[in-house]
Amino acid sequence: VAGRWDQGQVLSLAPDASAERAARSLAAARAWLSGGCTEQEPAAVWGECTGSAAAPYRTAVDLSGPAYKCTCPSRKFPCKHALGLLLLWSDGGVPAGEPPDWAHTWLAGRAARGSGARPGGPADPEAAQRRAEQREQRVNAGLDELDRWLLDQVRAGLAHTPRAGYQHWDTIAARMVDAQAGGLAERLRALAAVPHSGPGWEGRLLEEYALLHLLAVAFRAQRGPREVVRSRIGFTVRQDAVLADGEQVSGRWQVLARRDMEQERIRTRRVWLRAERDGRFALVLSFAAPGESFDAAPVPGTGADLELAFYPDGLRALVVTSANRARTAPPGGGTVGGLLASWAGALSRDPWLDSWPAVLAGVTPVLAPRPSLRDAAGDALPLHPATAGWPLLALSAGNPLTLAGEWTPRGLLPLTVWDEAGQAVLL
Amino acid sequence: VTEPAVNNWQAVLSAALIGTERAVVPPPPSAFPGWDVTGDPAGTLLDHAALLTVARRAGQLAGSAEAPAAAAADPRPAVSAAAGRRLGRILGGENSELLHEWLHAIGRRGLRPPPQYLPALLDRARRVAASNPDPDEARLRGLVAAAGGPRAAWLAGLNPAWSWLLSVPPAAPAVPRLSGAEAAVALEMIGAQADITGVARLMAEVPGPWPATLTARVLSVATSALARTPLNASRVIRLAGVRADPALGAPDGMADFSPQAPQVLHTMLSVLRFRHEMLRELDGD
Repeated sequence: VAGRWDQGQVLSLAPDASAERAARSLAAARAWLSGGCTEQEPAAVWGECTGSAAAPYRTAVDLSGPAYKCTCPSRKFPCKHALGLLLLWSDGGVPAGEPPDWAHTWLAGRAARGSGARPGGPADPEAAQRRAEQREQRVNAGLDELDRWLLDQVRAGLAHTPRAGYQHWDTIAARMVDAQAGGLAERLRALAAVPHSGPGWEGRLLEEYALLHLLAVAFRAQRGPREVVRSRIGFTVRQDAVLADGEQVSGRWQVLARRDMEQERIRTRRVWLRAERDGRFALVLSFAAPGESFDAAPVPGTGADLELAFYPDGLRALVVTSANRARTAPPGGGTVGGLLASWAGALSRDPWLDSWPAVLAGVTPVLAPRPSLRDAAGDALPLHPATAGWPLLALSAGNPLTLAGEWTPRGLLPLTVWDEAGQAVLL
Repeated sequence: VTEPAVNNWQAVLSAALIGTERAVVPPPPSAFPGWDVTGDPAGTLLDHAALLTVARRAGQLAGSAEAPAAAAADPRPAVSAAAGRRLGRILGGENSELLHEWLHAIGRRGLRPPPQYLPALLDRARRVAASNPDPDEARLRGLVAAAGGPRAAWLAGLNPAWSWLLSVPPAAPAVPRLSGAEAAVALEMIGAQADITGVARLMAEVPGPWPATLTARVLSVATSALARTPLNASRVIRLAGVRADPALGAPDGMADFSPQAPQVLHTMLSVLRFRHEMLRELDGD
């Protein structure tokens, strides 16, 4: 790293104008309780800043990346603290020194992970290449083992499966963890619930086995949608790679629906967004450990100016910046036929997909002969067994309404309903 | 994939249930000639099942359904969004003893509750028998029927568990109010009670809103009993919050209220403030 950066270089990192303004107010020595910088590898700047919380925020920037760390709750990246600190440093306002323990731990950790250099690739490209190849081999071997297991299941027959305990899937799931195929492990563990999921479980179990087999075949034969296959197996894309290289889309987004799920004690919140301009869907995930609450994820019934960075599958996205959040009118909804057509299109890109956003207008919930939703043309879709059916019926009272939710192979799960006053009600 | 191929699903599923060691594996569709059907039958079966799974999902057809009969229109305006959220909190268990007052209050103002909470209200009222010794509980079914309006009646027609609603007169029972003379009698009777259990039983019979003097007296009795019978005393303290004049819950409402043990006051005040905000929201500010 050749010396200090100028102000323009620093400000080019700002995620938006408001972050830039906020950062300027922090680019003064009095805003910082402590601070320092070093030119020795890895060159870095760090500091402690009084914020709204009781403890000061600890901010550190690895200049070789640059990479940022800050204990503040901001979702902007870099946050105003990191930017303010860099501005102050660029002005010569940060003294040279040795990093304190908290900054050193993070910097050393980055160096050890070999991820300390972006742009420019890993610190040791050969070692990284070796690790990647090893992983491919492990996953390949793991998929061979999984496929043998799947074939054994249908050889012996699925009829006896209900008597097998959860260990039946846990054992093979643990093997997939060893094979560094976490996505498969998760899918396998979820199967333990299928034999107890009510009538038709046999078909659902065979569907899952068949789709896992398809995944193994697609990966080994290197066929099918490559990014989709890899992400379903468990090759994750790092957040900073998505932020740096993912497709960036900004505009006005409507928040359609959210669904909370729990697996292995980690809660996942899925938020579905739709672009006002072209109707493109985006899925934003947030996670919460036991006892923690979700971060400020967008709320259904509102809209915001968002800058999104998409994962390679073109559906999952990260929120880079968010502004002008406001309540919005109910979304324009489609028909049952339109939903099924868009679902078929989505499956052609990702046959392993098990949920797809649904926005329907003029649909009426019907109780008999089976719980379903009926559109104005009389076309009907079954409701998912987990639907909050009575509140949905009460909201409609037999009249058509607009709703958003997820379409799944088990039926439609309504998540947001707009009432007569145009207010979003979360089911 | 042609329709007959999709219909093969049942045959494929049967073979998978029995197991390919014993079952005859249905041949995959001829449209996919590249398949190695002479190989492992288990592999052929899973290939076939994968094809059918995706084809069946992508080819899902809409069903049909008759339009249901709609509920009669309800001319009453809806409560505010804030008041609706408060009902959600009460039904979720927070200060649940205030449900009756919330329902009374919307009845007096001619408002209707948010429809999404009608099922929870109907379930809550279903669990109380009309013969419940607690007078508030005994009135709940009538209150829910009145508040629920035609939408609740429509729902009750769809769910046998709620059919009780159709035989409950939906007129809201009159709320007894405490007169000054009755309050004086109640004050005297508290003094005659030997223990906190007696006070609890007596005060449950005394309707609100209690004047500040009565509230203060009840709290002082409950405070002195707190160490000996905490459960009964706490019940009386919460009851004081439910029956006190709601105006006492305003930010400066307790200004000239003689302080009791701080934690007693705190418990009662938390109920009272919740009530105060609840009633204020219904008046739309």
